[in-house]
Amino acid sequence: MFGKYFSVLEIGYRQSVAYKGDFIIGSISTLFRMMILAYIWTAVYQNANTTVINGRGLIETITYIILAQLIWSVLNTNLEVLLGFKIKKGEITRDLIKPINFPLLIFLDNLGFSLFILLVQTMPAFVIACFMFDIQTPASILHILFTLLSIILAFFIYASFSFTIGIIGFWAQNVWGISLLKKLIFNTFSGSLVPLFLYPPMIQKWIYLLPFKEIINTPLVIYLDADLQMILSLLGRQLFWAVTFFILSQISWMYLKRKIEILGG
Amino acid sequence: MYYISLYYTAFKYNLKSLYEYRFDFWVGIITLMIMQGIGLMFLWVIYQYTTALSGWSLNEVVFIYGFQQVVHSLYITFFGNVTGLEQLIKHGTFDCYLVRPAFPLFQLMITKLNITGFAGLIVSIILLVYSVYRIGLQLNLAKFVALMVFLTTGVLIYFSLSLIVSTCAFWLTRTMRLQQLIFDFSEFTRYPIDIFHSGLQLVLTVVIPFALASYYPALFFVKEAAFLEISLKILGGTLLFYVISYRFWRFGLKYYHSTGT
Repeated sequence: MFGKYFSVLEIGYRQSVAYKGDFIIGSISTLFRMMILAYIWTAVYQNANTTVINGRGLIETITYIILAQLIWSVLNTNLEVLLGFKIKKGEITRDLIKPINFPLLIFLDNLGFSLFILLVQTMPAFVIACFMFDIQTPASILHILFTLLSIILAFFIYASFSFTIGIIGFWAQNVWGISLLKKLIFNTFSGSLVPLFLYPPMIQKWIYLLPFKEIINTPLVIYLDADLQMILSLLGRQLFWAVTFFILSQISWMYLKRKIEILGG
Repeated sequence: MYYISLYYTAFKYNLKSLYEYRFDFWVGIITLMIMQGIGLMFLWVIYQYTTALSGWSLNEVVFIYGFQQVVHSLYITFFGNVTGLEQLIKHGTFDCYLVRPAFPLFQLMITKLNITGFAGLIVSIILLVYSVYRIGLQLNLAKFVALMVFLTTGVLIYFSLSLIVSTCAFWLTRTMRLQQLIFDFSEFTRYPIDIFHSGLQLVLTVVIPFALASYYPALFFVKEAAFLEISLKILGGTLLFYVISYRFWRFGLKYYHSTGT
């Protein structure tokens, strides 16, 4: 029953192995991003002559920055580009006659790719960064487990969102521009570029109203210092957004499927 | 004279082909404006908590940032095509360049004007002018000439580094990723390099000298560092890297045997 889905995951993983060299360089790029941001905020703390900015110390900030890059580089795949490609080239017709749920197929293919990125590209960068900077260790095993759970939900949220974007791209003729815009928005408001607690308070207020924080800020708040009650409420909120985006992606998918049938494939 | 007229003709047709894709051009402009806007916002957020980073104020850092962006866009617009060498070799198109009566490198440069580069150039020039205005920099004739010279040497640095990597395509099949890796270093030089580890500063000055293309010019204009010392560093470094890259290119060219496809 699940065997065929597992093979899709495996294929996504195997396709990536073919481009090993690319990922070594991707790994260095990830490390560079971690370094630039960590150095900049170190300089800010030094120049500001304080140990605490907006209630957080330097070590917490650096931990947030490095883990944010780790999560972002795993999440940030080109699901919508793959989807756009399949629709444009007509490959989707072949996928549709397979006895497989198509959105699930795309999702698993993407997951396989992400796992590979995590292993080959992100982990080495993370390990080196750990040697270069002080990083706060998690408070307990429970915190690690909850953070992982939160990252899985984040992956689900981002993938559903990307899937919807990919389908919108089908009508917009070209997915490139809209995909770039999506990345810019997530990069800015998720905590990947600037830890959300470091935004000026009056801007924070607005950013916290948006759903983009769920993919990076929420897992990291859980990692840093949340107590059990807070963790549960954060996970609940994430679940809410995951379900919302999932329904959105299903609706747009159903709409697209009907459209394709009308065109006659 | 021959090369000037060639360049003029190529430039004219390149502009015409840009016009064909004007929708893409505007999408490019808007996207780049948003990206630059986010870059500026990032700097603004940082300076909410401090008035100076290693002695550099917000507007001064915007100058470094703008200078780097102008140099980078100039490079992408006019020389960005150099990175396409691997494709030319793979498809055998490079042979056409060798039989035409002009330097292959020159032909490589004039083949295409890059749209995003051109769009980025407009946006980044606005950024640089704005920062010059905000700092209150008095640009007399001498300083203006220096600005132009340092922009030129900056572009040459980018071009030389890119040429070195591209030339590797004579031996390696793929250089695109290596190109990206080298250019990832340039991201460090959008900020004053004093904030980085001293080893990294050395790398950015001597090994992959992107700092010569943005940070050191900013030292001269903003911090009024000694002109002679700075310009010797920049001009010497640029010349050295240009000569190395060109020699390497000639060497690669000699090595090149067509695949025959």
